[in-house]
Amino acid sequence: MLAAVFVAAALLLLVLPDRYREQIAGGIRATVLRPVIALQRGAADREGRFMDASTLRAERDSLAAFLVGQADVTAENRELRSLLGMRPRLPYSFTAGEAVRMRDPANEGIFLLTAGTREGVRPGAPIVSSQGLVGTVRNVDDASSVAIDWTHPDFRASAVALDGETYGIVEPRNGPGGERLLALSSTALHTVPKPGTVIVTSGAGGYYPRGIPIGTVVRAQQETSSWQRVYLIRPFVTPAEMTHVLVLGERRAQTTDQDLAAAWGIRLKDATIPDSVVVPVAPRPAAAAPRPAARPAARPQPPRESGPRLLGRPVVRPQTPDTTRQR
Amino acid sequence: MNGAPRAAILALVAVLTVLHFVFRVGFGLGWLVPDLLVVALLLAARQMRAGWAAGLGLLLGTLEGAVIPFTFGASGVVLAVLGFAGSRTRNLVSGHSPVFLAFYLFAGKWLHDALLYMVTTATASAGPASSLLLISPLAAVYAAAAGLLAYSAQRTFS
Repeated sequence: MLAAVFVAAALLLLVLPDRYREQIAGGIRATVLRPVIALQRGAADREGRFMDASTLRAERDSLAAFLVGQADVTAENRELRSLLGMRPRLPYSFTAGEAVRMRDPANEGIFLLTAGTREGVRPGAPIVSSQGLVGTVRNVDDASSVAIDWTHPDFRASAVALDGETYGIVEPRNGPGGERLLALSSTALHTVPKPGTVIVTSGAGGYYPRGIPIGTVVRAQQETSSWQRVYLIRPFVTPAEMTHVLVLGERRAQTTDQDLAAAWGIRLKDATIPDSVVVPVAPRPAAAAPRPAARPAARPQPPRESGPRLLGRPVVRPQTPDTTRQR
Repeated sequence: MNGAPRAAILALVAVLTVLHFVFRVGFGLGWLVPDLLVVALLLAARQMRAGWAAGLGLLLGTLEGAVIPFTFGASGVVLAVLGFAGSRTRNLVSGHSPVFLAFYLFAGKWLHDALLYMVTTATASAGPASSLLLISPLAAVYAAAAGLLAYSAQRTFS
């Protein structure tokens, strides 16, 4: 009888709506498990602090040299923008955090972020790195958050090819040899992105802002239905690279998705999204005012090798083989 | 195993639970540390009535689910069932030799992983099914070894 009561209580917890379950779990983390969570946060901090002093020193030196070299360019840019009457370009607000992996196969694709509501993180916020899209925040506590990356089975993002022709939804998929890839599905038959085409978030649905790089097309997958094709995408951010990430916050006033995409060296093609989904794309600030003669449309370029403005990665380290891809 | 004082059982559960959370979660060692929560439950369940063993499972499962939010609720159900089943094994096998204990812990841990997989599949947050055949047996062996060690320590100190 008593066992039945406890099992029934456990089942009740299981079927509770997510909102209530997260409240209960958050309450337990904030009370009984508070020391453990604090220990986890401290361990992550220490790991980052003692990561590799020589590498950090080299990065700092390179960054200092890089910034000195950019000083003139920045001043020129400011001057030219003021001459053209353009407003200063402001990116999204963001919060930096460290991703702490739960080393358990059952928790693949889930990680703990060392930033919470105190730092302005909100549920559903996109997570990016210097390479591109990482994932999204799911639950937020006071000082930490739980997030999923693109390898998690629940991950979905609306995406578009950089040429603005092919729209679809990306979701995790195992590629040949068990390589963790993404699949771009629900695409129209009449558009065929070539291998190597850069895929970015489309902004459809308003979940992810438009213009965050996701990956490049590897090839079309064999399984095709009569009305759509599926393409395998190799993400820019591998799980091994998800250590230090940025959580995007609110969009600053008078900024566009073009500004966000520019952080990765991408220029979005102006294209309307061919469906009825409400797309909260910010208006272009200078749309109402006459603009200087338009420059010829730039060819879509993959993200710069030198890294984005968000983080800056002046030091090019030798790439080690990513063992986490082969599973 | 039978006949251990209640305080000794409670102390064993408390110590293993604290070690589980400190090493697995606090230090972020994950699967490098055996699943001491399951070990604690399985060892204690043999000493408890089925109802209370299920209650202990629910308590431990709720704690574990809180640090892995997507399995919150699932862990509680699985550990409650495991506690109940562990207690019931006394009716089937009354022996407490190290060989039986090792097999009991091994089977219990594997059953835990299988049940958790089934419950989380229903909630669409399960990992790959291959882990049940490749990783779970190794984790079960690891848990059995840790359980034998913990049991020996308990007998030494109690």
